[in-house]
Amino acid sequence: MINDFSGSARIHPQGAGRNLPAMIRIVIVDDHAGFRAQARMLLEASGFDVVGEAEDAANAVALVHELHPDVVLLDVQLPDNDGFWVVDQLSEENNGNGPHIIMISSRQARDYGSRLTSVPGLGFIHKPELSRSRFEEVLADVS
Amino acid sequence: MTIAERLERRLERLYRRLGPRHLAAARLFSVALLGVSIAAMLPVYLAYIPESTGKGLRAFVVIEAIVIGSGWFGAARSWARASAPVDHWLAGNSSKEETFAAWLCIRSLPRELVRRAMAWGVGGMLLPALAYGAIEFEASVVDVASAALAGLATGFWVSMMFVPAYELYLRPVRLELARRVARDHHVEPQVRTRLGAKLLIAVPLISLLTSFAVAIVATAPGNGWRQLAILALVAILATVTLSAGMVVLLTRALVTPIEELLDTTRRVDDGDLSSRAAVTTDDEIGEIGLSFNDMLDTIAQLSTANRQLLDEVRSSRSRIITASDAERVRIERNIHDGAQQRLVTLALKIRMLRDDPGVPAAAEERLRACSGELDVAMSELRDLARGLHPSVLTTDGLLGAIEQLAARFGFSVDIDVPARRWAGGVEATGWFVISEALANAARYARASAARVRVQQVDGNLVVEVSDDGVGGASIGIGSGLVGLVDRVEAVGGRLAIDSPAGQGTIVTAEIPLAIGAIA
Repeated sequence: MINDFSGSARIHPQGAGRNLPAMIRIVIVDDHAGFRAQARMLLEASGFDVVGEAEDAANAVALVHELHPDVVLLDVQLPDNDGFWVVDQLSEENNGNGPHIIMISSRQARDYGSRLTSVPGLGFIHKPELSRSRFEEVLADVS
Repeated sequence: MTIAERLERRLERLYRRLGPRHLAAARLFSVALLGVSIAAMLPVYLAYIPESTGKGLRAFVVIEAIVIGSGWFGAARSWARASAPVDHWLAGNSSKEETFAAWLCIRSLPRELVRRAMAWGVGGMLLPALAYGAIEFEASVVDVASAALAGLATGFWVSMMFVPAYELYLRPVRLELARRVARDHHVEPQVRTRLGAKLLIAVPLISLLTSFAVAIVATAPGNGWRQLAILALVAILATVTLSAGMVVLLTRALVTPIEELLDTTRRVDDGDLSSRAAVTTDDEIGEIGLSFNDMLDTIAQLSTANRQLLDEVRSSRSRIITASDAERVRIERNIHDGAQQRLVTLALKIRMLRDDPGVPAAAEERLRACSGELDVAMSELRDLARGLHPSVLTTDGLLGAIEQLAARFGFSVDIDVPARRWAGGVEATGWFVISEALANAARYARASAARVRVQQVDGNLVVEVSDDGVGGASIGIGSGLVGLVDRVEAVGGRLAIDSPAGQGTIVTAEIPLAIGAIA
């Protein structure tokens, strides 16, 4: 787990959704260090604040408790439990007031069928399509 | 203590004293007893023919001497050969087959010896002896015939006494053999009489009636020819009476046990391999029953072994399929976890590089081409993974998986699938059938439309895939449909293909719902 409080306060260029602060704080959960680094670079270059990274489901939940991020970029396939388990944990505990969750996967959304669509307010980005515009688009949808 | 028990004890003591020399002792005993039995004819000749002339009497004595001598010779001569299997067994050769042969031999031995003694003494020598007596001593025809009949009757009578006496003598060997045979053939030991012995019961009856006939002839008035006529008449009456008795006896001894045996064969024929013939007699038919039961044991063992082998093959086939399904799930996961993950990271890197304002326009164009190529690679890898085991099948079951699958084909697919779940193995098999059948329709049948229908019918998942293609598909070697048949049959299901040329193809699979869920 890498905590990064690089407090370079940048104002989010687009302002995003109503429910979001100007400086959006993000936690990235993925078991691939290469992907995490890439996503961090991409998001930070887009003006977001990546406050932490986790590599498995248990650490993801712990980290969210600790950092209270605005958004969790959450990989579906994790070594211990899968991303949906993390979603369940966070939504139970926070009673709907937790962070916005955007699932990411190398599979496509239709590969998960109802598991994705049955959770209201859950975002999804197919990993190869991760870009600033796609992230902002999905974020606007979920917030 | 009853007389029988006391006798039994005395016998046991005697047997112990004799030790293993029973057979040798029995040999002496039997030859002596046979001699006595044949010699016993002599006083009967005298008793039945009181009016005989001196010449006639001398003739009888000569006849009798010849018959006794040759009968005795016959029995003694046959002994070694007739008892060979028992000797062999007593010498320590006691395999299952050898024991059974000794058992058969010892049970038929007394009867066999009597038969041989009679064959030699009566069958072989009686007529020449009679002829000699008649010519040499000028005895009358009636005298000679009466002597012959009376001699025969008495000989049989005494021989009959000889059989049980002899069996008593051989008892320890016989009992031991009976015990061994019973153990080898899984039946209760039998101590009843043999068929031949049963039929021998007829002999005293014949003798008795014949003796009466002789007595009537001897006291009848008139000349020799008249007496002979009366004798013939009485003999005919006696034969008819005896025949009726024999028929009853034979029916009881032969027909009833044979019918029982027949019933058993019918039950076995109807598939009841546990059925066994009731062996109620200790005779040859009982032996047929025993060997028949032995044969059934062997068949039942073979059948059980075959069934076990088949069960093993079936369950191993099913395990292989289950393992292969689990392996497909694992490989699908690994593709996404490994290669696909690296490609994704690479794609992101290229995109960031492309968006970097410091990258010259020419390089940006090339990076765009790289991205395009990478997208194709990732898409192909994704299709490969889905073909192995679509993850939506695990999450959403058949309907979701089929909807996703149908979108990949260039023709319309009408989907009639209930939105419900079945066990993992059932869904995996169903999905395999549907995806293979649709792939076949796309690849070979040049179909323009297809229909997928899934129903649950009586404990089976019935999957039907039809298309409007060229038809003519068959389950031949090299056709992808063989793999489909194997896959469905491995989980205990059935697959049928109806594909008339020019009229499309219908693939129907019945998959039992009872197959285990895959890991």
